[in-house]
Amino acid sequence: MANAYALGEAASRTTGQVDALFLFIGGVSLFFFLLVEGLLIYFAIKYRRRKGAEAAETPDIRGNFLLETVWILIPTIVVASFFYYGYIVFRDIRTPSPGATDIHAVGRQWLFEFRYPDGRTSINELRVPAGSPVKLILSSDDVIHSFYIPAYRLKQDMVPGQFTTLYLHPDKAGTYYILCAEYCGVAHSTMRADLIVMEPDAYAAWQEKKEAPAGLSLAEQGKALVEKSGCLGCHALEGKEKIGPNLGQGFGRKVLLADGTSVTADEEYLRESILDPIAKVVKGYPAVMPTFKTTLDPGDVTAIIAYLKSLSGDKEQDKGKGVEKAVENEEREGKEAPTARKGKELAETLGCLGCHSVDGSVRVGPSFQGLFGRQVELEGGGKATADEAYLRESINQPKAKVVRGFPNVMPEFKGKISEEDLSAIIVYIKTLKY
Amino acid sequence: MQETTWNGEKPPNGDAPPRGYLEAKGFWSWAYTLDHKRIGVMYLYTTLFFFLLGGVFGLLIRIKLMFPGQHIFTNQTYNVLFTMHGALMIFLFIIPAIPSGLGNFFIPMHIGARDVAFPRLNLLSYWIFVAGIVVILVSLVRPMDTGWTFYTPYSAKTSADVTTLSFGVFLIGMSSILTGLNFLVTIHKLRAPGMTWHRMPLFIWSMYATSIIQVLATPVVGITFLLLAMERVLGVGFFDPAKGGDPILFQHFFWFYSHPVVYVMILPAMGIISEVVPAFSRKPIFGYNAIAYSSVAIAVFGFFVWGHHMFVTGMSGTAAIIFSLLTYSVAIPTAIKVFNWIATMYKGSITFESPMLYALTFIFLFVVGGLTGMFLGALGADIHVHDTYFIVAHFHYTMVGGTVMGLLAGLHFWFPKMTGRMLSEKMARPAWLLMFIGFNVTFFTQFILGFEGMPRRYAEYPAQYQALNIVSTVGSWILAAGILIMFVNFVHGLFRGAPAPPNPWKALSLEWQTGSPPPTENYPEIPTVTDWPYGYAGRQT
Repeated sequence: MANAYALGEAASRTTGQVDALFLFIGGVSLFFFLLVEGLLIYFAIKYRRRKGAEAAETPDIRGNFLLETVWILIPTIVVASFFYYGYIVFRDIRTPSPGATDIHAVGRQWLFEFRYPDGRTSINELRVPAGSPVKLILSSDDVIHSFYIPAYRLKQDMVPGQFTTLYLHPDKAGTYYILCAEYCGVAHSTMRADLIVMEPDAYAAWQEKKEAPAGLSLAEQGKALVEKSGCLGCHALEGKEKIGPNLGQGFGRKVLLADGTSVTADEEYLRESILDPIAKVVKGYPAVMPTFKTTLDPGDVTAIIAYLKSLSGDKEQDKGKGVEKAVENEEREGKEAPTARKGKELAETLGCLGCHSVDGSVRVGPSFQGLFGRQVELEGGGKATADEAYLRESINQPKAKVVRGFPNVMPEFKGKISEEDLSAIIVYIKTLKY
Repeated sequence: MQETTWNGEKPPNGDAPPRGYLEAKGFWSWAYTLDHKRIGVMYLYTTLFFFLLGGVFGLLIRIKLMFPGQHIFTNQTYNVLFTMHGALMIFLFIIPAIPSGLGNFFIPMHIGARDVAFPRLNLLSYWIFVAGIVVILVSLVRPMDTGWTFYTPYSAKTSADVTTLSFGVFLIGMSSILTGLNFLVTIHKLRAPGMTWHRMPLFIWSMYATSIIQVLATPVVGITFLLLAMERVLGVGFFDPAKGGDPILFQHFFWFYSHPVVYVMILPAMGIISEVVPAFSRKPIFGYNAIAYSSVAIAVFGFFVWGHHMFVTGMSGTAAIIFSLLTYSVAIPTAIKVFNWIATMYKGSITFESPMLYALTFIFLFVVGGLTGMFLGALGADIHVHDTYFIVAHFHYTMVGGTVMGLLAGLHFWFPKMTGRMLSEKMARPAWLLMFIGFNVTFFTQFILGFEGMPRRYAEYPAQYQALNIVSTVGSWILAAGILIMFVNFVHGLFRGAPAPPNPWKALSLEWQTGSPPPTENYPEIPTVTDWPYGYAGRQT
């Protein structure tokens, strides 16, 4: 890890701004600290009573209007300046950066998943090029997490059922911690990811090498969903309007709502309008759209929004998207059988790897590496061999046989994944040998 | 210089027994007592017990954090420990200790009353408090691991016993509301003849402001926990987004109570400081009106700043800006108080017995807590240090450096009055010194850890934070040693302490004008008050 915690090292644009704010408040506070504590100690020494001495006669001072007015006014001015400076920095942090690359980040107990515009996903690793702004669209699949990059002095909660946004302005190449800052359960403190800021050329090379295996870009997935979900029955893409507003050109526009207020059609508004269409109806349109809460999962909504955004002329992010065929260069992956690869993808997307490492290190649960075929000691005595039957049971009903020394916290997957997927994961675990 | 009519050194105890209100013995004489002093003492014993228990949890947390990885006990145990440390310290110690303990004992004495307005209600509040404690202890069978803040959806989903514990806190809240109501009526209706609002001791002003918060804010947390219980037990989706709820709503509800309640914790301590500093400086309090009204101002402003706990939840920029501005408005009445205490010492004739040492420590540490709060109110800075050790350090400076030091100043100040025996100054001084050093070593390091980005509630941490964590842990042992010596002094004083005169500190408020310990109804005759209680100027004592 680059040591990005020292003052003055500008890992990103915000780092310098926030540090300057700290220095300002710190400097003024230090002055008042010395003044107040100095007077406290000075008076305590100067006006102390000698041992055994009679109490001296003290003056009857009950107040001083001028003095009291002054020490109401001065702190007022000081805190007003703190407020204003804090506001300026905050405004800059919150101001959208034109041309920023959209990356969706999802928090899940206990990992971070990133989805790039070209359809790639990654777990616990966010790669961005230095020098170009990034717009992170944050959400959570379970409880509240908080996306924290100490070196950037930035933090934003990931809230289930909502999108929040955070702009990054990476300036300096390096690897930085991403930490979860909102308590989220037993493995909260090990929910960490790396922010890897690469030089633009290195990033381009890497991108070429690891181009999207999924084949479809996020926006393309969204296009398919829009067609499949019946959106186009009521929304035209452009031209003559149907029942609802046109989808093309809609993103980012300010729209007037039926209740007279107005709102910007950003990610959060679109998300809400897909899941809870009646909440904010655009003026002049009937409130008839059904909810898609049960038919679209959060990933689908993300894809649809990426598609809508691509329609509104924001084409930049689609450059270099993953329609070109993936070139899998990494040796290990090249050798993997298709089932094992599917198992690997499932293990990533289902969040298994949040708690189970694949390199032998212990996170929340036992590592997958070398697990298959090993003898394990169970909680409450007894042993078991981690064969196929055991793994199957432990995924379906984890509470049945817990390995000694590990917390009994794994959720049941019974009924949540198909038999086929289950087998794929086991095949994948089999491949992870020492 | 006018004095109160009750300045006699010989307390007019009349025919009252020498052990005063402590004369009756036996369990039932305490369990059924309607005497506000006995109820206050029971609260003190109960809350101090949980101070020690919560402190042990705190020490265990610090031991675990000496090393970055998994060791000593599991991360799950750690999560339970920090939750219990917070929940016990907040709900069973720091909220009730001064208001319900010292407040119960000294509000009626300060205003020259025989008891609180509703003695039976007062006893009921105590037993509801105990019932709440029992429920909380029952919840330890499946101990809660959510942190004391109960954030949804985690608290709605975890298998730990959140429902039971929140019911316990609900009961504690009931007790708090009843106590606050009782104090409000007492202060309004039972002041001795001649005690106008501006002749009240400042401790009463601060307790009045505290009671307003207790009565207005506590119902909100009670309702919030009911909603949470309904979500967990009946599956009603108030906070679960999958059912149409909003997890952030919970935080609004929670902090609408829990922010004002930090003033329930700190205001009474400020009241104690306003009593102790003039008495040991032998000088009238500086700016009585400013201190009195600033208590009320803090209570009122405190209701409008809860959003500053939520700057990074994704709340609207406008809301964040307004909350930041309002947050800074609380700083001004707080600063006024600090300046006035220091001005009170100017040209005084100061002695440094243990109550004064703790009072000065309060001012010293609270200034640090207040100034570090300046970073947290600034939006751009808060985003970085929110939910890190910076916050942990900041609130320990205000709550331990502030409230606990205020409580200890009060306990050392009033120990002779409550027990009829003196504490040993020989033991009190080393205890104070160890606490002062230990506290700063423990918590100042955490400001640095927080600025360097170590999040709170971390069972494990990246190895670069280890050095400061070791320093902090060693500090916690020094702090614990000081607290241990202090409690030895308390126990020793209780049984072996020298008999206390009625007014060992030569203070002027009414409670010193009766016996130590006071008789059952405080004053054989209700005193008549002719002046404020700070007429120390020029007194030759």
